[in-house]
Amino acid sequence: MSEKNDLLVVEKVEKTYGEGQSETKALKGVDLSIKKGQFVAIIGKSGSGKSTLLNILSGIDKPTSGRVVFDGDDITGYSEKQLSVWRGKNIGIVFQFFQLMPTLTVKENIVLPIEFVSKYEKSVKSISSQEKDKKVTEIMKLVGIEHLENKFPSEISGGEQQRTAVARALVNDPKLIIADEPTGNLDTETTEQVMQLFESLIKDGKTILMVTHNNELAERADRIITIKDGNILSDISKR
Amino acid sequence: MQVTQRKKINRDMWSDFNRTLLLILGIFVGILSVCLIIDSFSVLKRESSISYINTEPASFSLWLNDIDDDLVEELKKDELLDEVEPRRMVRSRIINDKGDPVETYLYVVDDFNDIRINKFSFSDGASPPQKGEVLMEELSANVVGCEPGDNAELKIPLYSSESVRIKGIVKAPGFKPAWIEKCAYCFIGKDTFEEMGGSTDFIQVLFTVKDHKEDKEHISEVAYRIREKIIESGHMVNRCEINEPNEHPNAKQINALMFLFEIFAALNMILSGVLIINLISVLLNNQKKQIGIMKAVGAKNSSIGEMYYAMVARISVIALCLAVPAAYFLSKKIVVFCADMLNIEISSFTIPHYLVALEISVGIIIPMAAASFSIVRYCGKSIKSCLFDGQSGIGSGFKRVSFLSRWKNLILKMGISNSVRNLKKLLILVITISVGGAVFIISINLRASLDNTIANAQKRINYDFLAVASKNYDCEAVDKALEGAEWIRRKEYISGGMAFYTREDRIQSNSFLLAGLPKDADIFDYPVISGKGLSYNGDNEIVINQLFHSEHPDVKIGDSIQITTNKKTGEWKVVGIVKEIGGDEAAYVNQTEYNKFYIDNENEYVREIAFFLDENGGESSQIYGDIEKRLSDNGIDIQNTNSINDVQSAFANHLKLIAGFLMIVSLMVIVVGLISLVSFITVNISERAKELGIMMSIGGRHIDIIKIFMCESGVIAVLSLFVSALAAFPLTIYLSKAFGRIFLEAPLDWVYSFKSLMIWFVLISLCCMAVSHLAVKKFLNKPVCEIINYE
Repeated sequence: MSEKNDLLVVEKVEKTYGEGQSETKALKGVDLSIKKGQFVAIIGKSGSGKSTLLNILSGIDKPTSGRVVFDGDDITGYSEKQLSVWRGKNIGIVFQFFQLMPTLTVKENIVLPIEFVSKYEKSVKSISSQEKDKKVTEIMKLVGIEHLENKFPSEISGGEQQRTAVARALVNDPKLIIADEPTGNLDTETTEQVMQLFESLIKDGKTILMVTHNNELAERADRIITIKDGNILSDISKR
Repeated sequence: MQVTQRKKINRDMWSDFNRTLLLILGIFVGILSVCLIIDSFSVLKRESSISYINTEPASFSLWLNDIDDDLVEELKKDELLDEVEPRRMVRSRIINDKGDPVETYLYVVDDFNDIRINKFSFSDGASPPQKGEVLMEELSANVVGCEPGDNAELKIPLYSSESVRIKGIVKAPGFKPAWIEKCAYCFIGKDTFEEMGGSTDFIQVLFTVKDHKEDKEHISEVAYRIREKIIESGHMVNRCEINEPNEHPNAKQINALMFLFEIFAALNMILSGVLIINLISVLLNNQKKQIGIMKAVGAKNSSIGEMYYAMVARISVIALCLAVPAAYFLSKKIVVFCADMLNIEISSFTIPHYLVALEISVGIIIPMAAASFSIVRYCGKSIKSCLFDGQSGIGSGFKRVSFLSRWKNLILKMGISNSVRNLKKLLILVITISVGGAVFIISINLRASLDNTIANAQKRINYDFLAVASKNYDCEAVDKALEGAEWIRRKEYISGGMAFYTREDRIQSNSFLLAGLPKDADIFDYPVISGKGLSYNGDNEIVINQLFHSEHPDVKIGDSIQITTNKKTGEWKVVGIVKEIGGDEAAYVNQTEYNKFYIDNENEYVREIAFFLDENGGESSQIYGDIEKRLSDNGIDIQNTNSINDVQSAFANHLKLIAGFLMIVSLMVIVVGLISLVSFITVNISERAKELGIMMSIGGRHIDIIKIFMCESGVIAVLSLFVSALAAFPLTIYLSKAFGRIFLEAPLDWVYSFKSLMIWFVLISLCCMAVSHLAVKKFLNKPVCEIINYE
């Protein structure tokens, strides 16, 4: 049952790959709810089903059965087209391998989601170019990459690329930030910078869902969900 | 589309310049080939018509026994007529300084300054010709091998020969090309002609009608009324010839060429479309991950599609800007070549605005439509498949070749399984190469079918040398003239002459050859395509050729038809239709019956003498010369001679232009096909760089890795060969039939050239393997870590 301040509710979600003898159950009836403003870490071994769960939560993949309710709306039956719009309005995704557009500069990578979303979201469409510029500059400052605005992804470090990816995820002021192994490709120092950034975002009221291998990093989240063999093994809230 | 999206597509285009260049080149070649054909087609079609119409071609001609100025003036006053001009044409021979005779159509002109019908334009030398001088048509001058100022011997049949000076060269687009017909066209003044003993009998009078110049029915009505009017005035009209309005005498060649232009434009358009689908698909496949990311950050399919449409539009515009002028420039060369070949005068190379608009539309619409196929497909992919499906199909590739499980050669097995692991990709590539292959094979097959048809036609001609006399002669006189010529193994005498068929509405047809053949004639052996051959049993049977039948479709087997020649009319029963390649309209009858109807003196029936020569008789040209000399010395006036070599060379000349066109098409297809192949293979290998790196890291030798990719290319080449060979089969049959009907009025004896298959296979295999080799080699020279991280 969903509560009033639940941002995301997952009910009996199953995901099966293949058919017959080669059938594999990646998720076996997962139930989960995430409240607004929570920093949730999902941990688990390789093949445990955590990435599958993340893909389903971000609308990248669809469950075989069960449902996903986001901010009161059941997104399970959404078409790809509806999911695109839903993601643009509500979700910011940070990938493990940054996934920046190689031919766009840092600033342009951050502006791109605004341009896409402005086509269907009136509140974004009405933003003037000066306001847009101001907003992007603020976010770049927030993640500490304002000096890199005209650099291309190939010209900056991995940490800087990941901060750019975080900035891109934040630019449309999403309700939920989903991060898939955001520090998986970063050194210790850069990992720390990214984690501090996430913590500051939580302080600002953002909701973050992070998948990680790293137990130490997971410890810094409000809540740790452990997945094993497609089931939630444990769900520990620290606050 | 917003600023960042525009920036992205700009940078995507230029960040991988080589790929963009390949895409531009691919679209450029596609548009170029289509525009080239459209430009050449439109100019040739228009100019062949304009240049012919500018000559003010006669609407119809009447042949009169005699004519006087009063009659001409009276006719000129007729309100149905625009122009009237008497002109006599005599079939003569011109002998160049090497002694080679060339059959010549000699036109006797009353006033060179007042030519109103069948006009010609002055080109070189001087005009008008004075006594002892002639004007020669431009292409004829090349056939005879003379230029202004040269002297040549002119022989008018039944009269003595005179030396004449070539005063000038004229362009006369109303004639069939002299080089194809192996003849010459000359214009001579009335004075010179009469001085040479030329008769003023049987004057041809040319007419143009005032109104409805393109309406053949109206022209026929006017011709018939004028004919009656002349007869009422006390003159005799021997013959009436109605021309096809605005149809160039060489229309068959032009139409055949135009047909090929149309067909290959359509095929090229398909090929270009498939090439573009392929290239855009390759481009988008490389952008797959970026599409996934854009979707993940909120882009709708339409927003992403819009970007790639814009990119394709930009590339198309660049390709179009290059292709349209290039096509115009190249088409000029093709048009000039064809115009020279077909005796067309080009007054303007202007391409109509609507065609330029069509080219621009085609240049934009085809790439955009072709790109839609890939854009819709890739933009419709889920984020998951865009971001995480990089290695898809590997397992399925092995499953599809499970029948090779016993093979121990893993390298070959990998090569084959890799080629089938992504069936969609394989399908697109195989279709692209196969369309190219099919067009290539068809063009070679058409050429081979033409050659085969001509070779079969030649096999049907059994004589070595044919002499055509100016009139029918006594066969005993011919026998006497040829006495002692031991190298003549055998000879056949054929009666005949130009004849006219009287239609049901009592109007005479245009002239055709009526030949009286002796029983058991061996001169030729044309295949019967309908009905039966001559039975020589005295039933007044006539066999027509397919050209006659095409001109007079109302004539059917079993009909009785009236045919007039030598001012006499005979009635014949049509019993069959024969296929005669390379000839003109003709009909064949029993010689005995021919002589009975048309010859007064029973002994005078030899018009054509066919010689069957002894193989060991000596040099052919000397024998031909000797035959002609013996006949001339004995008072037998020869109008024209034809050796089997002449026939063969005439056939070959008729084919030259078509063969040249087919060769250009084949080369164009090879370029388009190879670009497609190169782009696909290089990108395919780049995409699988990680696999290459992994194979290297686990100890794969360079040669073995190259072998895997080359084997993959080999599979593609073999599959494409099968598909193109199959697709070309029905198209070859259809096009051979259609083209043959236009060009020869009979379907071609089609052949499927296995040589074309071999050439295409070798070309594609070599290209596949060479490109694979080079593309893989490029990666193998890099450090493994760099290859593994290659994006």
